[in-house]
Amino acid sequence: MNQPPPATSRSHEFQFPASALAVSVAPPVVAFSALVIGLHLLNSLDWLPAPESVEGTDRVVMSRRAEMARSPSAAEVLIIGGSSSAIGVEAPLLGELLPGRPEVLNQGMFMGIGMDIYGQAAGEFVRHHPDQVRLVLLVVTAQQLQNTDMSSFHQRLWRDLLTRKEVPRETTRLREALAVDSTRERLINPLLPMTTHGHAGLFYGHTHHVRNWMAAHGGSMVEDGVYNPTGPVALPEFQITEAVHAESLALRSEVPSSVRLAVAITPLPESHLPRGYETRRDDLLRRLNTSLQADFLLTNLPARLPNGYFSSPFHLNLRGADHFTRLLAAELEKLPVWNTNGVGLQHNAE
Amino acid sequence: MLFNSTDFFVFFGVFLLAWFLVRDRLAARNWLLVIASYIFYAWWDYRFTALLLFSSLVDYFVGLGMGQGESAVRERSDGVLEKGSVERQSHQHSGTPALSSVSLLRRKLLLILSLASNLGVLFFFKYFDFFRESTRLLLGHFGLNASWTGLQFILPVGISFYTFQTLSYTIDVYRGRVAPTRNLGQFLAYVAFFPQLIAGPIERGAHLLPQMARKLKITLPMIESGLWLFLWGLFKKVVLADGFGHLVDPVFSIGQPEASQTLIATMAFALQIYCDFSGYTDMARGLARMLGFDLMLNFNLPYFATSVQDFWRRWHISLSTWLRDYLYVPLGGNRLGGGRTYLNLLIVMLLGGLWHGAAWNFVAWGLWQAGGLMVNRAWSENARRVRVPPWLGWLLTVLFTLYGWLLFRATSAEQVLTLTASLAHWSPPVWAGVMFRELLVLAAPLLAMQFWQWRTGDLEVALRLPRCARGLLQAALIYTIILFWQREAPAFIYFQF
Repeated sequence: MNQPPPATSRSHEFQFPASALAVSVAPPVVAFSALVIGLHLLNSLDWLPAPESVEGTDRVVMSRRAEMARSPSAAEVLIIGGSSSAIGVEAPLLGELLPGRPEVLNQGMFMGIGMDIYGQAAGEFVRHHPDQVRLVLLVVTAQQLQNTDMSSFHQRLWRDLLTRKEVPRETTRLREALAVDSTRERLINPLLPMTTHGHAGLFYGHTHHVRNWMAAHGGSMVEDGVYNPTGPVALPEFQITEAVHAESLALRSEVPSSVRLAVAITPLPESHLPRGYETRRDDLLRRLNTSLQADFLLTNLPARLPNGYFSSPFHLNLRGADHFTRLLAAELEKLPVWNTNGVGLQHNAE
Repeated sequence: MLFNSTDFFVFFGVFLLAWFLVRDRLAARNWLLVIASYIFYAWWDYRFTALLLFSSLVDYFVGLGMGQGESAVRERSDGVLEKGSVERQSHQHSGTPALSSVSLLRRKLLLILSLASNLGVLFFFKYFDFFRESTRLLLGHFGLNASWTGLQFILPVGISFYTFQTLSYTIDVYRGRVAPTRNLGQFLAYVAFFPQLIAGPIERGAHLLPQMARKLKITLPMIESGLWLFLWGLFKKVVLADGFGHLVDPVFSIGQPEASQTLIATMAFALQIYCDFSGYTDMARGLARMLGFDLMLNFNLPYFATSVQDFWRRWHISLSTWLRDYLYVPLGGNRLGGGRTYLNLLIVMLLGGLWHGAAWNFVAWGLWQAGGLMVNRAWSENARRVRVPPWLGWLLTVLFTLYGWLLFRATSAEQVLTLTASLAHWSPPVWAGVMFRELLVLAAPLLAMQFWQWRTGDLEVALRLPRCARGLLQAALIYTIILFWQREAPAFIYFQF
């Protein structure tokens, strides 16, 4: 016969029946179920506020690019490239400074997405706006040309955006069963927009503002701040990987021959650039062009600028972007693509 | 393992099943707690379980060593000695037989061994690089170039918490306030008890250790209140603390904000750190209570404090009382005159600041708090006739605390200066209103609950609601937690300390 253990060795005892626990737990379970059912009902009857999507900054930028490529626009000059082009070139200012004041659209995305995708951004716009675009300007950093670490997330997102024509929502069956996404979109998002981070975070505050800013500024973005070089910055190795050459070919194939292609490399903070950087940068551009086949290489742009023009090693701040845009306009103005009467762009000018 | 992760819910489910199965065996229960706690800790980095074990074993054997031959020590049935009994025996030589001088010397040496090994490990992992770098910079000022390389160890999570916990046990055994335990399982379970292992409360041996030795009676009200505490703590972490974090990070991570941005971010951080830390504590206390244990209160409406002294009676109570009992009082407390009292306050708060992290901003924060406590003390001693209305005391304390959080959150002296200077530059960006609204939306449920708790003087006032109303409130909290749940659970701020 089993003897009960001596009282001193007993560990713990539950001093209530299981039924009492069930009675205690039942109210929140019932209330939770009723809440979920109620939310589904209100959602289906459309009695909740209109849904408002909240996206992270990267998603906002990518979806805005895809959206702008398909939306009505009078842009004749397109800027493509990584974040240094999105942040470093002020599209409205550039348009004002160019002969004939053509509309300029900045479609810059991020580094680590691939030159082929920059080309797709241009190609998508050109297809939706035939016989309109005259010049595509690729603006990249020297580091970008040796970059082999591509973001599969961004590449997949871009493909989805191009094919499905809408930003796909990441969800699960459980989230749908509990009406999580719809409740967030209708009740939470209008109250709590997603905040942005870094220098851009201070400037924009939240991602709704990122979208609105891009819409109002020809797609250009801002990263305001002061660059504080606290550690070493990886310098470009002045190498172009095979992958970048292949992507450049793909980019070129997206840009019709009737559209001129120019390429520039953005400047870097002067504090950490070695001697002879300018020469090596120009050499890099020429080697890139063996595959890119651009019509114009903008080698007269400064390779370095004072640190005060930057917010981070690769991003110009507001003052820097204004300065660089003016320099860029001065270089573009020299290109033989503008009509002699100063209005609009000249077709197929050499 | 984080309480706000799916992993933890699976872990705790499995643990509860095992907990139910061992209900008839005390030793098995404690070893189950030890194994579960070590798995919980190893989830972060299994290598550091050796450090936890080392720290526990040192104090276990030190305790045993101190207890040898101390038959004269009066022990209560729950294992706690009468307060100060050994001290009385050794110093007053009254009552029970006194300890021999050899015995006293051995106890002292053992205490030194425990302090050296525990604080040595803490210093090595947490402070070595800080002091090395500070010394290098100091030498640099005198033109001496020291090219030392840092060790750059990962800081073992929770090391400050469990080190202080084991130290309190050893010091209490030395002082004769706690009987040394001979049961290894109970001691390991006391040190590594998973609900409070990583971020406290820092439990004393006199409070938690006896619970490891006795049979636990788990009642339905304990389950209900434990569940409520866990749920409210999880809500504070997942919904509020992480939400406030979105308002804090852009300003404190980079850039040069203006006044409204700095103010919003600092207020958000004050709420974030409170919700993050007290949320963890609530969850720890709730989990422990569901298992039949009682953990000490760690937060008691700190932002309702009407003086700096009052704030420290309400904020991180387990640390402030630890510093009081094991540092301030041994230094002489307020018994050695005014000047010495102020010096003691300064030392205690400086070390309290450094406890949080090896960085100069924590030193500055500690000094700021020490300054506040000194002014508070000087005022209450010298201006007794001038009565400060409670609302004014509260307002001044809030403002003082807010600037303290700015020092605490800043990452460099340069940033402290930048943020402080920004307070004089008022040019709110267009989105400042949206950010302020977000701050209010997130703060509203917290303020409502705290005001209710403050008015009723009952921290668990929600449990007094009728069953249906409480069910509705719990359902709303659970649903909101699900709405804000993140797949990659953000860690707790205090894990880094």
